[in-house]
Amino acid sequence: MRWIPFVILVYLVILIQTTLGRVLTFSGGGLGMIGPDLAAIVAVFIALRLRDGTEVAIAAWTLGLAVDLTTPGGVGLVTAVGPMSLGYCLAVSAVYRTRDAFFRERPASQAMLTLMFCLIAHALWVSLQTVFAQGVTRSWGNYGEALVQAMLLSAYTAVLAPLGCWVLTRCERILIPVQAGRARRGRGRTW
Amino acid sequence: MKVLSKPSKAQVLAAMIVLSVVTSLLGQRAGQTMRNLVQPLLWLGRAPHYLATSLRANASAVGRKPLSPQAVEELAGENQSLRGQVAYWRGEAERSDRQARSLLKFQETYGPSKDLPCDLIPARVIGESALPYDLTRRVNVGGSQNVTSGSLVLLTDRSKALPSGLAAVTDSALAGRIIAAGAFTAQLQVVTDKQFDIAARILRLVDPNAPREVRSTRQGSAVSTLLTEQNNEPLDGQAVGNGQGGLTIKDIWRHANVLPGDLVVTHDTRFLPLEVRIGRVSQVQVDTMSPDRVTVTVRPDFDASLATEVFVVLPLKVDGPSGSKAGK
Repeated sequence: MRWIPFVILVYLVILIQTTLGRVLTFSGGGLGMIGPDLAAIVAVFIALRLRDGTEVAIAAWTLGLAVDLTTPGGVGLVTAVGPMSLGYCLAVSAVYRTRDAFFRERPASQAMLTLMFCLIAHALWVSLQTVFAQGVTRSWGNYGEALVQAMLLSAYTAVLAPLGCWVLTRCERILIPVQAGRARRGRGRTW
Repeated sequence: MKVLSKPSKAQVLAAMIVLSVVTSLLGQRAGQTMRNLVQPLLWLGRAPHYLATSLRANASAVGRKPLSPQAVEELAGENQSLRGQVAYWRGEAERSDRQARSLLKFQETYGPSKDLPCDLIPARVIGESALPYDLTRRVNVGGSQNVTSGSLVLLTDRSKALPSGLAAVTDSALAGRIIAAGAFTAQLQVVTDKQFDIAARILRLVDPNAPREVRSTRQGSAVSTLLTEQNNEPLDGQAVGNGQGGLTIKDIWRHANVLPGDLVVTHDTRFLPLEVRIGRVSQVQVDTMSPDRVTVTVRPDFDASLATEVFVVLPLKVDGPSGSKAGK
């Protein structure tokens, strides 16, 4: 993994998510607002391309921390920093372990894995934030609502994942050096 | 002997996970401190933010149904009538302005000098939450739906953290309240957020063309009278954000006959040293539990989806746990 280009990518993704992100956000009726988690797409892309599981987890943790630091509001009045990086680590390990069962180049696979990633990461984030918000705000009342919102957000992000992966494939060489045991034009492990 | 060796990737990952657990357990306050440190990095995001603001403003016009010729004709007639009214009220406004100017001159000459005991700190909106869990919905009358944020990130010119709880205003309306702040940045909770509340005052409009009947109690009996400038007492209540792009004020006396279009202003001298407009009444609903009370829905004048700049109102004497006045 080339870490300096990766950090720049994280910054750009977060910048887009906190500014242009609301252009992609829409109302889900009584279910709250639905917007994409662009950082999740990057995490899934890296989990699909990188061979070293530890590097994948470090990259996911970094992305999760960036999301955490730019999501001040939510379940509580002010949310804690840390749950999303933990959620990303957990979710990326699930994606990393199951990726062999999928054809990684296929959009359906990318969407499916992104859905799984987001469901794990966001369900954990909502749950932990609800626990941490106890005593500050009455947040259990909104817990179910936030979970449904997380599911819809996951589905929406999954729909956008193939497009995001296609864009990231264009700059794959900048992020990931050619890995040992890979064919010249191959993307993924050669078994 | 080599004392410090380069840590392995697994050790780095383990340290990161431990750090996440620790910061999670430290809670919201520690989290906000960390956010305050990194939020100035979003400053570079001003350009996309303004681009998004511009795109959203233009996108709201797309997708609306074209008007029928009959509706166009009706609107043209209505516009004609409104133009006449505008001309009349413009004349009235000019007359009032002349009177006000002469009174102001008199006051400046003979009255004691008076200034608002507060500083206005300019702040730019540089971003919003990365995830939409605190977003609220705003429904336009035209049918299109805009997204407004429950909180915005502001960039201020203050190197010291502002006290939390300060009001933020635009040039014409209340924007919200500062819920957390750090060096050069602050978190604004907008007026429509579910957890926002403020003491408010409803000012009923007296329109000679549409007289309004109100009922009051005199010597133990209810008396119906017409609302005039003389008996137009403001109605106080607590305005609470409804999370759907508006605010609600409960427990308003039904016979005060509040109507859509009435003005709603702030009425909290600790929070704001002057009355600032919040918005206009958009809906009045009779309370099902207590039929002599109504719940008023307020459409705020502040539009978070289009906001680029606000002013944080810093009273010159700030009392409270946050301490003294924030310095430059």
